[in-house]
Amino acid sequence: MKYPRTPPDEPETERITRRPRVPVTVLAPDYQQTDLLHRFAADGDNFVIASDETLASAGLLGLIRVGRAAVIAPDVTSRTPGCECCQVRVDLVDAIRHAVLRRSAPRRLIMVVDRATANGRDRACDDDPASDVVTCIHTIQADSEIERLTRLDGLAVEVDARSASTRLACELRLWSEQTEAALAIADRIVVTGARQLTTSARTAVTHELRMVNRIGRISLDNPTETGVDDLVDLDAWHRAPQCGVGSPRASSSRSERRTPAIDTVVLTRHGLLDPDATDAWLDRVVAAAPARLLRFQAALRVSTHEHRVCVRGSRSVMRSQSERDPAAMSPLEPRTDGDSVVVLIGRELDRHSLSERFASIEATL
Amino acid sequence: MTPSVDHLLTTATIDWTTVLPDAVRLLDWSPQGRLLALAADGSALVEHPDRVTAPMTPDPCDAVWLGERALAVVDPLDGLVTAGFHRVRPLPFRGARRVETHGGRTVVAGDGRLAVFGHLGIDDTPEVIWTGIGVSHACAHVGGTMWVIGGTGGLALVDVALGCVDTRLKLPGIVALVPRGAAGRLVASDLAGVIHVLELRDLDNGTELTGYCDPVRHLSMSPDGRTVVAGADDELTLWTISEDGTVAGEPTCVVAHNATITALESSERGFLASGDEHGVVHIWSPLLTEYPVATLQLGTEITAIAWDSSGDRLACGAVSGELLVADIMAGALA
Repeated sequence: MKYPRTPPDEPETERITRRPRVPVTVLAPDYQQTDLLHRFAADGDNFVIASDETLASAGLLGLIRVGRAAVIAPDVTSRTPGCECCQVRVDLVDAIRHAVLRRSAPRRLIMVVDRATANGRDRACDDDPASDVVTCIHTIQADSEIERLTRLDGLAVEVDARSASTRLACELRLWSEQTEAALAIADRIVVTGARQLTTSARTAVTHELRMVNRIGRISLDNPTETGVDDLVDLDAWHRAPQCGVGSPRASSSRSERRTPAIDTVVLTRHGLLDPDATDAWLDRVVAAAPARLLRFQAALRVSTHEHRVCVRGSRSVMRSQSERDPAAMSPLEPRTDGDSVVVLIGRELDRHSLSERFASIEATL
Repeated sequence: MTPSVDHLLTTATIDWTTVLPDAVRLLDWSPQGRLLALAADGSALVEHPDRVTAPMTPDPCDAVWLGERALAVVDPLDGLVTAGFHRVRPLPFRGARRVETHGGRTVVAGDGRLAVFGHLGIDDTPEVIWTGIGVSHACAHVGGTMWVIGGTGGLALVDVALGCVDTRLKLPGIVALVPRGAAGRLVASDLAGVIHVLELRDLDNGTELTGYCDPVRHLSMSPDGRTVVAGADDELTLWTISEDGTVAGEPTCVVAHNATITALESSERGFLASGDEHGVVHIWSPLLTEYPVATLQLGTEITAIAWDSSGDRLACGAVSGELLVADIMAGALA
């Protein structure tokens, strides 16, 4: 990972001709749920990228005819043969090119990742990379052509409240490994059907979700009634990490005994960091276990930059840009130059070692 | 054709321009020099600026001339849509990606399969060959009855007359493929950013050109197979290949554009055309690699470039639907 170069002064005309990157919202609906997709499709600004089965089951195949949808068929391969962390969805490249390279580019892309199974009903499909949300997220960030045309805006994952509550009450496995990974890195978790649960059941489901996800917002409202505005234009991946949004509270329920397989490690540090030492630390973090690193997000105060540098990535890929960059900040977000913050989400992360090494990065006085 | 010093006095004269209803997705010249320009909405310009068809398919991914009076458009859902054969319905081929034609055969590459058609006006039933390389992303004729297919799982050299795969090469996802059958050579780039220079007589022992951190999507080779050009970011890299297929010396790198290169195509005369995301098209001569010999300008990102078979006419398409046809003339020294 290299820190972004300070952009050179560009002529005004060059800035005008540069095409804005189209935001991509990745949507992982629950098994055979199409309500959210319908809501997204109702907005004419959205271009839907989904499998033909999903579009057909939602009755939305007609969107293709009017140029508002493109079909994908999972085409997974690895940039390095046999390497899990280098797996990419090749089909997404063509689909995004076809969607964006139009005379009138869409305002947003909604990419639907079909979940092969829900709630751990079928362990056999747990390793299927075609339905892996993390592979899609990784592809969007790793492929240079997708990176040129689009930017990852956010990840919304849908959970069926009734199913989750029932499985929780029966002490069954709540979700598959892939679903848990998607939930852990999600920016929004939409719990559908929550109104049909009792207050205690809602609390229990929310608690379980918060155990897995510490960065996103959990919505128990019914988005099919209130709209999906809360799920788009998040700009969640290009700015400083939003960690600790409702940390899991102490609970005496039996779910407390379950330890999530995915950890969220939050590291903070005061003062200016040495850029080379920070770079070396980041390289070590990625090299240690790229396949286990599901999401990485940081805002680092390095001595060579006036403002913090936002770093994001998943698996083996990392991208960075200055926090001052307009794409790195929400328009409503106050400009703050706070401490360095790092959020790592992954499997079997060594919290102690990560913390120690981050603390040992040389500071610049 | 060997490049001459005349290249240095090259001029590019715009013949005509027009605007298609949507972004230009693909350009193809017929053997006799008729232009096919396919727009992203499925409409097609055929030969003249005022001859634009209604949308033939909602999301076309490839198209080709079938002779001079017919054409085929590929859609992953609809299959093969043809024009010029009085056929109303498309030929179904789920997952079709690429179409090419040569020597009376039309080949459609798709999801692990290759469909080989005879004359599409007569024969609707293809011979299907399983390639074993997953989804096809590139397809080209290399000579005789041999075709090369690039896919997710690598490369396959297919003999369409025998209906079987001759050689299969496992590579990490082919993104671009350029064969030069006359030179007995092909180049292919993969997802790992490696360019493979392969001799057709021995595909297993090729040369790897490395140094790219991203896949090289824009690849070209001179007609004699001695120069490979790769476009990555704003840079062109020229690799000289020796007679035996090995790399001769260090490559020549040129920062060719002020923006990302989005299209690259070489002509039969040895010229090279490169387009970028700001709408600039540069014409390059192999004799002068530091500066373009001519430049054309469109308003938006270049999405397709195609030379005709003579190498004298160049078509460029942009994301706004703008289409430009220019005559590229090498100068004559007194």
